[in-house]
Amino acid sequence: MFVEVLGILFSVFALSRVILRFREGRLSWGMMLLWSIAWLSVIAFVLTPTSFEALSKAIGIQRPLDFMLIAGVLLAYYLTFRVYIYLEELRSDLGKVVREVALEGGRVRKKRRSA
Amino acid sequence: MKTLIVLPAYNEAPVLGRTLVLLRESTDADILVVDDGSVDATGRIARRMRVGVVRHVVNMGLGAAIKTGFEAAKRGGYDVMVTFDADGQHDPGDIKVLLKALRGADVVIGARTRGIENMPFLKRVGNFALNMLTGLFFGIFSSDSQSGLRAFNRIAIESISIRASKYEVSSEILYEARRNGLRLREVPVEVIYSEHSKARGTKVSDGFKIFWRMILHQRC
Repeated sequence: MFVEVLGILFSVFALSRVILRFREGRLSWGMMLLWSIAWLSVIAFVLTPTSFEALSKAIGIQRPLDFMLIAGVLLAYYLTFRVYIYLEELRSDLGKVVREVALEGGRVRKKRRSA
Repeated sequence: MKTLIVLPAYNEAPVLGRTLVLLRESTDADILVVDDGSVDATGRIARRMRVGVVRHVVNMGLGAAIKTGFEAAKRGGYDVMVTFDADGQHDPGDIKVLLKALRGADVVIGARTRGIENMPFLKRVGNFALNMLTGLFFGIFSSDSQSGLRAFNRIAIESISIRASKYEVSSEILYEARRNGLRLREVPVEVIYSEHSKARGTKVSDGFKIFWRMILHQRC
């Protein structure tokens, strides 16, 4: 019982953070939707563990708990990939800024050629 | 022929002065040091030598420094750009060899075959492995894909687009040459290994990183 209560409390807290970040404009519609579905799924699973039985069996996984674990791992991989792409974009943008500052501040000296 | 020699430099203060003196003695070309966020006197030494200096405010990596060199060459309207390692491992006299070879090519790689016996064994093995991987991933087999001594003509300067920010840039340049249908040539050049240059350049750990990024990006 304790684990279930803890699971629900944590999910509600996480869901509140999702809504808060969305209101602040720091989370896009798509990511808000993805995270809301993820945390609502956890709440639904804790309250009624059998609710995912039909879905898990339909894709060949016997136990709903296994289904949730696999879905969680897949989601974690997907989010790691998203973070990687985001970091690459940030690195690229930072590179552009650093390059522009360097080229604006520096200049190529021409070697004086003797006559 | 308006030529720009680009030296990407990160904490090269102990050797940069000597490298620039030797370069000055052997060529009339314009010289640009790309100080990649060095925390030592690299930038100060370069300015004292009265060569062009641009400074990255933070360390961005070899690829980013070379990309800055390309951008400077484009904006400056240069006909030829030569990349030259700041650690003093190249013979400035080899630049003439590269420029001569550039008459029949768009990109010339200085393959470090002369004096290779002085190259540390691990670096030699690493370079061989990266040559093979560059060939497998990009279909270009080079005898020295990681050489920092290269020459590019105007067509290459305009068409090569660099995304890599670290050491994987060397393999990416070969990929870009192939993607743009550029004529690629290799000429043998000398490699001079000092204690300083032995400690610099691509390490085994960098080799793994380059391999990993080749897989992730399928280009670099």
